Amino acid sequence: MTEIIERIQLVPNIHTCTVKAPEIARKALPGQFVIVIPDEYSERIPITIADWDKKAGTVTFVFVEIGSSTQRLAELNTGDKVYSFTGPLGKPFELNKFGTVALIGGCYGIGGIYSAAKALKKKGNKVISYSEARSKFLLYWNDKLEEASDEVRYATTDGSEGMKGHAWDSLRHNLEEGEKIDYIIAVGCTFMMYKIAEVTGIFNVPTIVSMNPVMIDGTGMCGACRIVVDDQTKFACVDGPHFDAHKIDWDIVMSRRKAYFEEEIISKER
Amino acid sequence: MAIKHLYIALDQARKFGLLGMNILGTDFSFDIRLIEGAGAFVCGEETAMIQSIEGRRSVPVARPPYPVEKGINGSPTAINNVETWANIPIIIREGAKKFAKVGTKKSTGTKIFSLVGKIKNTGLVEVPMGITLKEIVEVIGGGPSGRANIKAIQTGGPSGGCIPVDKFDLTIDYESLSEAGSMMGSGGLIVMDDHTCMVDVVRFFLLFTSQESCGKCTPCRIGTRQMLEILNKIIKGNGEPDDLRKLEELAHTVKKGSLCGLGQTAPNPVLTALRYFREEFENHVIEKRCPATVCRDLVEYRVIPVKCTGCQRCVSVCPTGAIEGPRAKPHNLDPEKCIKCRACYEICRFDAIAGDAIVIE
Amino acid sequence: MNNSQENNINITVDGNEVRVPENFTVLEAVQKSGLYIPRLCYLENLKPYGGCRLCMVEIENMRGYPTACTTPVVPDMKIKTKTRELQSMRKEIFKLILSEHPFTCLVCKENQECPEYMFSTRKVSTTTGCNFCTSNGDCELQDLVDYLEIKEVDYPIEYRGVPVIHDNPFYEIDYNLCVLCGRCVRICNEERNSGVLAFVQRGNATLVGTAFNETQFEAGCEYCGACVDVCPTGSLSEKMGRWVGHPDKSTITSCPFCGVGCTMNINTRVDRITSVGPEPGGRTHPLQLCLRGKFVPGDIVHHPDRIQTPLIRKGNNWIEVGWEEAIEFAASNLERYRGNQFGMIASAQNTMEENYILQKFARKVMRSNNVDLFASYPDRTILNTIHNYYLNNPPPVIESIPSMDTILLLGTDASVTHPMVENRIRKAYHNGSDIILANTHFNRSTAFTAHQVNYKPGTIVPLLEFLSHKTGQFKPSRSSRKGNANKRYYSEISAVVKTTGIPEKDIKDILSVLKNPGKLMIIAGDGILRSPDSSYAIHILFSLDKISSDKNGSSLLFLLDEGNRYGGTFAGMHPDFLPGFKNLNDSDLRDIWSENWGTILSDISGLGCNNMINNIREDGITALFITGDLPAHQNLANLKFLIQQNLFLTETSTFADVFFPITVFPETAGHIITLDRKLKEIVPVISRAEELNTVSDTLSGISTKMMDQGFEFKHPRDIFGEIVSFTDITFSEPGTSLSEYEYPKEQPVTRKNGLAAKLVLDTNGYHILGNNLSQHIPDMKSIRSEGILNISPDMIKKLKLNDGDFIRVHTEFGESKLKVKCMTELNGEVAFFTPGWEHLKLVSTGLSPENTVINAKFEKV
Repeated sequence: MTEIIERIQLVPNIHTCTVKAPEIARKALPGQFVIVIPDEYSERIPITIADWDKKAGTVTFVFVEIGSSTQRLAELNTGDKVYSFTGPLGKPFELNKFGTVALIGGCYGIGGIYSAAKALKKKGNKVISYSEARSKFLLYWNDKLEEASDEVRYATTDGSEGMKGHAWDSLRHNLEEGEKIDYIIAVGCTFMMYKIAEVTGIFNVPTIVSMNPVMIDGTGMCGACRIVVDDQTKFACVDGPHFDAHKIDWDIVMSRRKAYFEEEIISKER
Repeated sequence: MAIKHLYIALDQARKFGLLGMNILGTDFSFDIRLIEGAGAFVCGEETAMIQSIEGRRSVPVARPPYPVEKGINGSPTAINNVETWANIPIIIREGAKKFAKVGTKKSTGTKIFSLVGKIKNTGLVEVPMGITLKEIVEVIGGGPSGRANIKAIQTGGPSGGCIPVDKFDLTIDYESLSEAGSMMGSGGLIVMDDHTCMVDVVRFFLLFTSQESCGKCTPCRIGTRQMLEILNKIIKGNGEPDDLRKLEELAHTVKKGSLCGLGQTAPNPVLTALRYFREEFENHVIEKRCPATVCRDLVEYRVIPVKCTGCQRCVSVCPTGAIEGPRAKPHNLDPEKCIKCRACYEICRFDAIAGDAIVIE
Repeated sequence: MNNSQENNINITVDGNEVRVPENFTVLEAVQKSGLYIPRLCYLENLKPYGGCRLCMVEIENMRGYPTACTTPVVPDMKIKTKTRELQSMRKEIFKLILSEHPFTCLVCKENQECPEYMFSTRKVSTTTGCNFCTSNGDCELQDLVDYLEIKEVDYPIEYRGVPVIHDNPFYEIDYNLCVLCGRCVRICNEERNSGVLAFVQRGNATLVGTAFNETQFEAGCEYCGACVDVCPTGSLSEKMGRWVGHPDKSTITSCPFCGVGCTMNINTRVDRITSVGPEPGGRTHPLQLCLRGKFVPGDIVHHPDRIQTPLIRKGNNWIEVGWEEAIEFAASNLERYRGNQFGMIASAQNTMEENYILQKFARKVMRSNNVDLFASYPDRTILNTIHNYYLNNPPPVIESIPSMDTILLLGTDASVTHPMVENRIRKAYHNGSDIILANTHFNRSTAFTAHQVNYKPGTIVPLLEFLSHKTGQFKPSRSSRKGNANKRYYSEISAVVKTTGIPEKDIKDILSVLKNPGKLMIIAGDGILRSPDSSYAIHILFSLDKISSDKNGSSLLFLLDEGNRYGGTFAGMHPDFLPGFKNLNDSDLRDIWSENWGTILSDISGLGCNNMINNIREDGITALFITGDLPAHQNLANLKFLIQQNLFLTETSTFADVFFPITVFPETAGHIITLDRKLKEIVPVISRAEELNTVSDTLSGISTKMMDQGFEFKHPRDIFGEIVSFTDITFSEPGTSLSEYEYPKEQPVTRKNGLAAKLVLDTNGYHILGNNLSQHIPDMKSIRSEGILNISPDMIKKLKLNDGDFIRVHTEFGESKLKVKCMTELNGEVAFFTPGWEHLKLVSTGLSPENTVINAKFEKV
């Protein structure tokens, strides 16, 4: 049982949670994830690690309240215990000196790119973070990202902050203007990552996306999280969660996400 | 105080037998009851007033039925301003023809105005309809009160419009005022000089109307606030070229779409200001400059050394000590300390303080 | 609506001439001509609001852009509905409306492609976009975006950031999505007269809310769901069925809960109920329902605890078996219990068809007349009396309530028991009707009455006697007048005042109204129907019904409880009456029915429900067949055989030997007879799961195994056909004339044993087929305070109590410890109590109370 130090709601539906997990904090690397089980009857939820403090022994993650298990997680507070907290899982980001790196975060992904931003900047990269949301009131961690990156570009669909439009529109605009970007990481909802892959494919910029398929055990046994990459079946939990965006079969990704719709509904009704 | 006096007056009238049952021994009974509202602007709208008197949330209600058919508690109701009622005894007593001798053909009688602003004589004035604005400002008002020239006059309060000085030969009557884009309204006459920023004035009125909006109909509730947001943006120096077009379009939408008079007239200040003072708006939006040196974010004050005599008058009035300098030597204004209260500007007799536009990227 | 030529006028809409009624608004006229005008705040049948401004039109000779919904038509009016200027204005105004709502998904160019990748994202806690919204696909904003072709909105979202209310029972409230159309406020105040919702604050800060920021419940919300029905966005959304998706079918059926039998529309998707409410696109004219009809069906039909397969008991466990095996088991056992040792209890919410074949089975196959509906009226004769009376004096339909001049409302808490009757009484009040309420305590209806009196519990008869005597109607029978000795006959007002505790002035006021009532309706509830002298009381009401000088000017309506009390009894589920209210003791009638069914019917009178329970022993009742649920009376343990067919396993099931699952009303076809004697149809809205047999299927199987016939019905309409062929369901035969009433002999004074206080019982439980709703639906439990003893402020003071304290209650039946709460509407030594099943032994010896008022003693623990 892992103790919660703090859980705060950042913006509607998105929460940040810090737990005491010294062993995970010691080993965590940017891009890895944990599997959280809020209580005995919840599902195993894979969540990207947003930040960690080796000294204090804490791990911080950002999650979206989007189903019955995350709803239970959102009800927990300081002092409550999470039933299970396993990690760090998955392969971390490749942290090299690429030159100029663009990190694109949307929804929970804003938390997801934070640790990568810090680490890549340390490696000597110029880090441009794109933070996107539907509207200004859904943006969070602006100050954190601005501190961690060389530049933060905001994109809101209604134009209330930054550029009016989506992150991929903003990115496309920058690439069309001739801006040199050497490496791109995108973390966020599947649709956003798909669109980013589309844009960057045109300009041939190496793009890594952090996939979030249905996942169960998280250690490579069950095969629920499989993704087809370059015509080969890979498991997001052990081979990923990061893959070359241009090699992913997005149609299969799309169809697999719908698989348990009925069951999800019944579980929410209970 | 007005209410207190009214109660006293009604009491006296009843004591004299002029109100109540069987007035002066006749069969006729009549009484007056005072109902105090909470002072919301929208309650001036007749159907909203009826709602308020009935004890409900005072929002305007669709007409028909009109109040004269079905008003308070379902009874036929005649609603007029006190000023209108006050004219009735005169008309009855002196006759309509005599009453109509004063004023213009279509707007007869007199009108009471509240004359305020940058003129020497302020107060309540009663003038015949048809008098020109020039006469009111110069003869009755006594001309400008400060050093600056008179620039415009706002008639009708937050529902009215600004009329520029070159149109001061306009006569005061219902038709001419509405033709000019303004209206008689509540009878306010606010005189403005060159130190009044028209953008700021419009913003001020919109702040009022958007707060007083009852919230029932969408154009007024949301439209006035959106107009206010645009104006707030402009006075901070964040105006974009498209803003003026958006502002004007919004103003038309609110004017044509609103349910009641509050919403229908709230855009009047905007529309008249854009009509007569568009250049001033463009200064704010494009050049990011406030010519009247009112908008704080767009103005920076400095001392003009050649004009400064070192009299230290400004030093003594500056609340933050931003101006300093020895006697008889040109003074220095530190922009970091300056809160742009303009006290120095007002007191300097040598025009040695200048307000410049800050250039904002 | 009178559509005669004189009331129609000609107008021109977009160049076409149309003929419309002269009292129409422009909006109604344009819609009648088949055109569409965008609108948001419009509700049919309610006063126009004119707030959204979208319906503006151009009318010749009218300046500006008047709104169509508020402008009445005049002859020869010329209207233009879709000019360029109008469309552009509407677009601008609508964009303003959208700016108060998270609109990004509405106008996003990817909004077709994105959902393909976001399929499972509807289940968030706060809606921030269309994909997350429960109204996605059924949203009037989406419709308007399409119609007005909005491609983008220039304004940023002004997200209000108010907390979402998740813990409101039955529906969630997210005012961040509210577009302030005002429909919920108007329907709550003008249609339902509940006055819970209003606009608060003003200008930009305007929001919908309750007075003093109370919760919905505290503000007096009756959970009728009307606000949820009319909300054009996802701001008010039902909890049940919100994740299922957009419905693909809508079916009209009738509600079986209380006896009013409201018409309801049930939306379904594949075989799941998504909601009970307006069909998609029908939000401007929803059918009005109450808490039970609106929110319960979906929860019950798809309840996770519903039993789907038959069960046979083996020791302490249930074993799932197939239908064949269960039927065989039931049949072989029932063989041994034919005759008077067998009893059949069914629910007054079962359809007529179900009740008919159940009682036919009992009488024909099991040769027993022990058949009864659960919680039938203590006086076994009154339903027949009422039926007879209705044959000669048809009951009024409830739709006529709002047009009454005077309404006398007796002994009922109608806002809880029959909300849609009370809703119409509220409308009558606003139409100027004189409403008189007489009850043991004030209730919600008091706000809508001109005269209200509280009589001491158990004393309504003296009041009625006095009123009917003074209005010249009541004459006790000659035999009782002779030899007087009748201290109870109340002809003196002082005696009435002393007995009932009603002030003299109040009685006089009521009397003066009743002397000249105009169109009068008398409505009587359980305070009459379940009182010890119910028969006498209703006879007094019969005579009161003759008050109005014009005979057709007065009517009498009894608020029968449960959806099909009348129909179930008519179908023969009564120990004394064969179908059609035919007296079992009449040998001729018995012969007719014996012939109808091809059998010889037993002539032994049946036992009622409570009698059956109290006679469970070796030489009494040994086997019971229960349809639905009933309290787990301790005597049930002594049964030799118990069959239960029900939705859930309940406490009673622990005594059952075999358990059959049952269909519930959205899965069945059938009929009910409402309390105003309308024959209404129950229509299946979803197909029952393959495994679920209907009651008919089960009985057919059992009777076949028992070598009997007469149950091979393929479809409920065949059962109904049989009922119709053997009874007069048109109610056209004249009733027997009610002879002058024999005044009952002096009742022995019940020894009170120091039980000086009165316990008034709420006898209208909230059930479905007998299953207690609070037990199975948590939200229902949170708003019904069952099992709490509500006591008067006098008693609180006398016993020095606080809310939440426990006291000991002694009644003539038993004793119990109960939690107390102060109820200010009570006076004197009176308490009000809604018993749960576990409190049965406190209020009855049988399965349900025999009286609405029982003697009690309260003492501190």
